[in-house]
Amino acid sequence: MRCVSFAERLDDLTRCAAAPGVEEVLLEPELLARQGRLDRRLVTELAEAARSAGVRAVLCWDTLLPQREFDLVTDELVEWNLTLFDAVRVRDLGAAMWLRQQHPDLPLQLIAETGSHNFESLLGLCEAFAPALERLTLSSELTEGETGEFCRRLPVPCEVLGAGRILLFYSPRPLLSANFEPEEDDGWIEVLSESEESGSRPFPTLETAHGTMMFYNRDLFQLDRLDGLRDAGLHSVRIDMRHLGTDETVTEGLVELCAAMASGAEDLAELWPNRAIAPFFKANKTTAQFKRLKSPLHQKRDERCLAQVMAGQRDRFLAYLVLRDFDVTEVGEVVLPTGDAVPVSGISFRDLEGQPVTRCEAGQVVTSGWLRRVCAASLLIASSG
Amino acid sequence: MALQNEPQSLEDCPVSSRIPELLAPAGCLMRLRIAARYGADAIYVGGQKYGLRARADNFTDHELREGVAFARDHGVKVYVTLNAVLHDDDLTGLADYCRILQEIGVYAVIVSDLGVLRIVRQSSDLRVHLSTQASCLNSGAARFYKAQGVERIVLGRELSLTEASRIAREAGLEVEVFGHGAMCMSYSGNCTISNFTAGRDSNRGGCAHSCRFDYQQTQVGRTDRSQTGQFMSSRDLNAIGQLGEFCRLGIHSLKIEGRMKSAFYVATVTRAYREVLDAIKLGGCDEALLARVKRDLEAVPHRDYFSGNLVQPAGSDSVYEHDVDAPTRGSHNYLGVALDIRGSYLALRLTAALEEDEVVEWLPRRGPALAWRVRGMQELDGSPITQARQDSVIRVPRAELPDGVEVLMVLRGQLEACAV
Repeated sequence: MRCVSFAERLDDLTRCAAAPGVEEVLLEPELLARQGRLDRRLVTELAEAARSAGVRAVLCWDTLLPQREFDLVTDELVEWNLTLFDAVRVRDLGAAMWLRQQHPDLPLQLIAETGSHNFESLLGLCEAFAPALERLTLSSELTEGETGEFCRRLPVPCEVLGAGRILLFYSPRPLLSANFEPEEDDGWIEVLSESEESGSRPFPTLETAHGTMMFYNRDLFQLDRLDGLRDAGLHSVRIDMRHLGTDETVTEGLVELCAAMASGAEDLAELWPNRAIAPFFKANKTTAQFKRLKSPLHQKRDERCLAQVMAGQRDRFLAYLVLRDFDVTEVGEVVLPTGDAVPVSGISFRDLEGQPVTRCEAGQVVTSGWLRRVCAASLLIASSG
Repeated sequence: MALQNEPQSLEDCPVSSRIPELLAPAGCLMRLRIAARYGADAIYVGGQKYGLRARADNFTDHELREGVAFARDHGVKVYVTLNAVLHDDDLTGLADYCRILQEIGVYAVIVSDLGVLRIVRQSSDLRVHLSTQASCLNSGAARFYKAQGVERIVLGRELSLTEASRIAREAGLEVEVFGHGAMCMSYSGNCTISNFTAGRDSNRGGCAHSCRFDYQQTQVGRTDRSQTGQFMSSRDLNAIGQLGEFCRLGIHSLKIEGRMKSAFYVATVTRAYREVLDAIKLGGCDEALLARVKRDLEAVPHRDYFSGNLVQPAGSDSVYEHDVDAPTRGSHNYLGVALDIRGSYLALRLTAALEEDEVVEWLPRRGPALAWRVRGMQELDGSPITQARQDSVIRVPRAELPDGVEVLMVLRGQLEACAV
């Protein structure tokens, strides 16, 4: 299992080259990467230096690209010598298509962290971008079991984030510059955003030339629990220390961390300076609450559902909207919003004119006498016989 | 090196004069019927699973069958959303469900997940529209999805109409563009705040709308620089002023957001866009109609309108800064809907209280609202009343109603006192 990290300076490359297991660096030009700072000259120099140091240089292109921006970027990118890079990592499928057309021999790494959480989806990407596709980066929302399964079954090697910030939100709009000014020449603005509704956790929020990003208040850290995934064939693990760096480096502590990993140290997490979690590693229960959000009546809305109670006047009448034609003899029970059923017998209905009806028509409003416990939204259900 | 057939600039795009399909939302069967009556060409709904509105009851298979039949009788298409981003365990039953949708006569499904797309294609002959959740933003991405069998792209809301038109032409696909309603501040499908803060997967239907919260912000390294308020809550999209461009640029479908929104919203917005599109089709929309329709759109609850990215990229003024306790506003409130008209009476379902002599308005399918001084209210057992409760159903003699009131017509009241 290889490690991947970021580099912004020659010092970073030196550290990457010295870090056990790091065989690849991600280089982020401002033109292409959400958090890119490098100009073309510097990214070219770093790519050449990486190769000289025996480390693969991967060009990171992780922005999403509305058509107008896509045109501007690709107009400039055609002037770049992309053969300097061992691969290009892309997020936007339009960028992937462009690379496939313009540089069919250039290895492609696809960021599949958003929108691809099942095998069929990932397999579709593998098939669509073969043979250039050399790697998929998988979502941090997958469980260990899911990631392992994908590593075993997919025809393309996979990568996960081992340690780094958790991106929560990515917008093309400049959302901070209306209220804050950049501290540096790069134009970036970083604030901590805290909401009572979100538990007053300070979420790092960053505006760059490519829009606004919000990150979780804790980092993801799962470097200390990857044995199973390694056995499943996980190809690479990404260590993202960009937010931990100083103006001089984005790889502070990388060598020590990778050395500890390589030696099998048990206290890896202690080497990570920020509070960290791995919320979905064991289980992803982010749909568990959904059942409680649904009405228990919902499943009753089938062909046996005759009418819905729309309103009532206590001890006097109930008003129904008839949902399908039915004869009064068909009525079996009323199901309450709680899901409880109230048997009904001998019920009679009147139409809007107050005349008795024995047959009700879909779309008609009818009334019956008051039924205890029955309230608006209850459903009138046909007897099963 | 430019892509083949790439125009020199966006302005080189050819123009068309297509009237776009008007696509309205419906969260339940009644709203589907209302959308059809108020002029939708097509309606999108959610089924019980696989969609992005976990809190909505959505349509059971039985209701969907009824809805499709009703829509077909009115010349309206029904699309079903299967636009959640699903994990393997969620995919159970999807192929069977697709076969049911096909048998019911659903016109198309809206998907965002490539895995879902492939299963739809493997299991049915359903047409596939790509959801805006996939954030398809350029012609290259559109070409990818076309190769996967997609027939229409619901484009990301970050695009202008000119960009949308160009993508349609270059990729050889239909494009659907959001014209009205709430907007995600993030690239759609690229927000997982709820997943981590509320334990609810926003891309499987559990969005907690964290973007609408108040935030206290402090600049890193500068504790003296802070501010409190909304910073990531988008204003609402309103494209009523851009409909000429929709037509000129040949946009195939104009989408109204809001499956969770009320019948009042569905009726008001669908009607407004229908009237202007019909006027354009007949030769032009006069200022009086446009002014009335704009007023109507102010009636429903909304966050201050803007034109999104349809004309130019949204800037920092696209943030909706509001009172958190009163997040949306409109000039009118939703009073009720005509449920049934038979014999001498109309049955009126009320969503707000109503008093005799109050002056309210029925919203017809087209034309100015029909003023009604409330008279003749009765309980359903015939007892006369002068005040009717919220959430009650009352009857009103037809003779007391203005001409033109019909079943499923929506009743509204101005929030400030008014008189005729």
